Amino acid sequence: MRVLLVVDPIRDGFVPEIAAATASALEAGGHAVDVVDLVAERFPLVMTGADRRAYFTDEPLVCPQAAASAALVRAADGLVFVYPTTLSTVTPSIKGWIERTFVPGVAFTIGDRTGAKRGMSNIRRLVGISTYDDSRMHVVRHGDNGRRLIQRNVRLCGGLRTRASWLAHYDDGRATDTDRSAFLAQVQRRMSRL
Amino acid sequence: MSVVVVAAHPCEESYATAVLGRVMAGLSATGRDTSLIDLYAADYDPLLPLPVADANALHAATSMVLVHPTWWTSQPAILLAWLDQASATGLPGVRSLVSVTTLGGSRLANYIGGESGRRVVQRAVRARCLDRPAHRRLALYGLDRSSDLDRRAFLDRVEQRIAGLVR
Repeated sequence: MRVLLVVDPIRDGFVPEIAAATASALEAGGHAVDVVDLVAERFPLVMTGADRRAYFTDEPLVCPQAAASAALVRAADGLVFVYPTTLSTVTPSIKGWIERTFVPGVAFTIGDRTGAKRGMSNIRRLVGISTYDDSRMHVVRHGDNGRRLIQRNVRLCGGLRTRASWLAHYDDGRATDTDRSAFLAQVQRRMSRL
Repeated sequence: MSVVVVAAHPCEESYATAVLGRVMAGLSATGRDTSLIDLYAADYDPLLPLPVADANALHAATSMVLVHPTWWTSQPAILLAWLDQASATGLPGVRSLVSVTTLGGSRLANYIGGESGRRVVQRAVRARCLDRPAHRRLALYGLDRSSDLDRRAFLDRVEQRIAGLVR
């Protein structure tokens, strides 16, 4: 499989570690891995006026970085998001990447009468890996909107056989080194068998 | 007793701009002290610290009104970035939270989609306010298939109701 890894390694050192472990485990499992590191790439998260005006035209990808990401999405069989949950949802950078990359013609198509139709049936595996400052109970009570966005809304743009899974590291604020290395081992185990 | 209005839409010619105009009209009719933070007009850069003017406006605010389109079920990324920074500095005096938004899909489609943007404010942003204010919302569903009449009716509804939702 060809897997696209979208990472927002903002804030602390643990998310980059998770991303590195994910990439190496995927490669060990025999997959080809493309990485979009939103911070290293300085991916512009803000949808501009030019982006928005082009959105419903035949050429919606005016930003070269978004166009490059869209090409990677089209070539991929798997999609993995790695980010720290912020304000109960994906980080602004991940949201911006989704808004600017998953445009009509990439993630979905807009028919004249039918409304939006799925456009990413090439994606067979969809994975989210996230850290949370809060405990699992707190996340359940407050709602995991990032997971909702990826496992539900992005998933609905995939094919009927797109499988989605989730790896969560709760309570990162109080995590010890042992907790963190246990989570890294879990990520490695799961990703090498993807 | 001051209101902070935060707006996020990149295009001046958009319907969102008309909605913002009606929000401001509805608020100014009540004579409240209102400040507008228009993220696109102000060239807000999420990579820099929160602008001092924004922090000051928030510090004095008793109400926060978010005016934005709904993209991928939630607020535009620029507004999420601003909310993240703003709630990190704290929203001590905010006693009412209002969203005024448009959604492309129908009510049913959004229900199935999970309304994550609604939950972000209703739960996560609210949790950062001392008073735990209720989240009130004026929403136009089905914008993609709406008629001129629907859109005009929503503008009128916004202007009439907004003053009653802020404190």
